[in-house]
Amino acid sequence: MLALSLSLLATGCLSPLNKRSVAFSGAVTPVVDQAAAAYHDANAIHDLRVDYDAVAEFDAKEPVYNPRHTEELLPDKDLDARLKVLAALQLYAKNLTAITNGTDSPALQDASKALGGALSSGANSIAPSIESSYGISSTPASTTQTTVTTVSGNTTSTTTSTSSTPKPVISADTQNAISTAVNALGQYLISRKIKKELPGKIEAMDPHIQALCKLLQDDAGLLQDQERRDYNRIIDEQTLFIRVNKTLDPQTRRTEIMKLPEIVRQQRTADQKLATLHDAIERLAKTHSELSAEAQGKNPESLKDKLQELSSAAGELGTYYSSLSASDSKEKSH
Amino acid sequence: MPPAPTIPLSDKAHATWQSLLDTIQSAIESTTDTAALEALNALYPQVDDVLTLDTEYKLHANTALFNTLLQQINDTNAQLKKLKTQIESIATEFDDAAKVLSAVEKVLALAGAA
Repeated sequence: MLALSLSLLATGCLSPLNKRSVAFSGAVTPVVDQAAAAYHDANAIHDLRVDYDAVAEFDAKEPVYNPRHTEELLPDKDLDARLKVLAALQLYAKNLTAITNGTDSPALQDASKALGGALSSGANSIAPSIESSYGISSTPASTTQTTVTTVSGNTTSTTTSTSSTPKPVISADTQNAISTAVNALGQYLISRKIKKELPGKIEAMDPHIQALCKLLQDDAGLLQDQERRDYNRIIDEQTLFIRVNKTLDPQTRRTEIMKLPEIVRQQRTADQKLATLHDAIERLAKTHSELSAEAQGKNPESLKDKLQELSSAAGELGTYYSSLSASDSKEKSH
Repeated sequence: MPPAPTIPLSDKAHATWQSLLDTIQSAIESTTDTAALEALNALYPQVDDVLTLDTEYKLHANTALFNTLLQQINDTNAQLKKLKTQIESIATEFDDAAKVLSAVEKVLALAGAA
């Protein structure tokens, strides 16, 4: 009962931390996906603008156009640094979720069941010899009577023997209760470990996450400005091409003119994507701040909430206990 | 055209160059005159190149900051991995205890049989 109570107290406080970790992990995914896409998009749009510039620059006498002198907006080295940080951020979120979910691990459940079973089995083996030493008679659980009839010629003989199996000291129900208590003890030990070590790490990480979010916002702002200028340049050069080349055949001219609104639509979509990324980064910064506050126990919570967490932790142990009973029934039926 | 400025641009200088570009862009958007368009389109990249160079410089400078942050996040991930292993070892220790108890039980059973 002590272990169970300790577990309820310890794991009851971990549940909100796990919820915040899951929320943080949920906020990381769109930032990682959208930021990676934004970097690739910005490079692609800039490349397109460089292609349009090439047409305008090709016939200039000074400087002589040389395609080898074109530069990428974000070279591979710079892009790679950003993608690596995003991958590390995703791993951080994954680790947090896995750790805060640690009290409910299948490995612990299996180990608790094995240890509970071993404790019960050991007690059942030792108990009869102790009872015998102290002259305590154990109640037989079941009695088996065996009658053997032998026919030899005209003679029939019958032999009857009776055997009894002692009732186990630890019943199946008690064994399940022991396994549940062992599981509760394991959860308590894990919770204690997490509560001792994790909050400090999350708190120490918060300034870095906030700095990363600020940096990503800064990048997103730079990309948005650059894309706007790149698109304007593309539209301007396309417009100039059509206006200067008045002798284009009507069909070609029509096709070239129709490209203009399509470029504007692409520009709006790119702008919208960066606005969405901006919101996603803001949400990411906020969820990590909340996670850090939760880890430090700074979030005001009502007694009712705390009681609900305790009730939920008790429910989890109850579910574990039920799973043991269910597996017992299956084993018995086989 | 103003002389080529020092990169990176200060916020004030950036705003001034952007304002100049906006003026050129606005002029481009309000004329169909080919000669005017050609002149404005020739002017546009001279201003825009300054702003693009500034963007490229700032993106590159951010790369150094990203690398610093990468190191810090990697360090934390290594610590979290260690913590995860320690947590997993609690279940392993329970499992080991079950195996020891099971072995003890077998020895007791042998002793009882003797």
